Amino acid sequence: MSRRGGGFAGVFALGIALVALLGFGGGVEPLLAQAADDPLGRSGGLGRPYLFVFLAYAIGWLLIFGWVISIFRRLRGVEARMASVEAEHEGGPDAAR
Amino acid sequence: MTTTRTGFWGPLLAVAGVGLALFQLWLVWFWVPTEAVQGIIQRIYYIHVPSAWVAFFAFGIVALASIVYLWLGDDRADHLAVAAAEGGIIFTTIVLTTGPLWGKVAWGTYWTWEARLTLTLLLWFIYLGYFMVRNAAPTPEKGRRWAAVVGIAGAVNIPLIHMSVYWFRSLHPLPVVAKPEGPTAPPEMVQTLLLGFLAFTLLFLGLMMLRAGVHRIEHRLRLREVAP
Repeated sequence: MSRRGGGFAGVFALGIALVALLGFGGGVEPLLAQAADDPLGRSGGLGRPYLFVFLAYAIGWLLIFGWVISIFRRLRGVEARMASVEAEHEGGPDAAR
Repeated sequence: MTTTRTGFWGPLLAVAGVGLALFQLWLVWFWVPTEAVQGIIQRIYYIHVPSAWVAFFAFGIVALASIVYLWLGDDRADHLAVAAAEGGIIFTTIVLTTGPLWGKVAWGTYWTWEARLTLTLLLWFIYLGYFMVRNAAPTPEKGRRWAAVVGIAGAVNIPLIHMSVYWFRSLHPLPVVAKPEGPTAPPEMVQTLLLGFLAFTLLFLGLMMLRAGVHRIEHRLRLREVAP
């Protein structure tokens, strides 16, 4: 991935870590309290509804992140091709090799 | 430098979108009240509905850009259509994966062949077809034109998806925010949802601009390689 692509991914990962830190800084008690009152949960701990909510957000963000990665991979490929074309332009076919 | 070639606004909007989306994520998990009937599973709403909006918005852009491309033959419209179609597929995939997870807990089944779900799946296939037609055409020029036709035809499905819950008996709930008499959900839920709309729209617009920029450079390189 290009340096800029890596930077974007870094900001993204830092953001996720920040949300986790802010959210879970006070422990998981707020989540357990919500789960205990859940009308469709009917299970101990965080239960299936929480697992499915977590899965939904994880899948969503993974798909978006995958799109980001695919864009930056294409960008990297394009930059390599451009560098090759520019080198060819400046120094003839031998310079590009 | 990369951003000078693909444009400055794309990365800026995408980063703003990510920031807002992360804040919305925090609101969803730790701030918004739990819905009384469905409980915790209803929190999928805050990713499901904004993703559906962005998917429709994206395919609307595909249709408009495709009309411009067929009418004026402007390559910039084609770059925009490709980028929007790619984003539309991503966000429709999110809708089609988050919905069944919600449905399994709320309805007891991952999938049912009711109108809205079926039409949304059809939309996904239509825009998958957009790329297949593009790549399968005998020449790139024909591929762009055929794909533009698919892009325009596919957008007809969007109002059908929106109206299907009114026209057919459906398991899928009716809108609780986007309705003429105003939202009936609690303000915290509406605010979290609206923030999701804003965040996902900015994120999509940023990534779409970035992707369109990359497509524009790829196109120019291809032209240069064919006719140096």
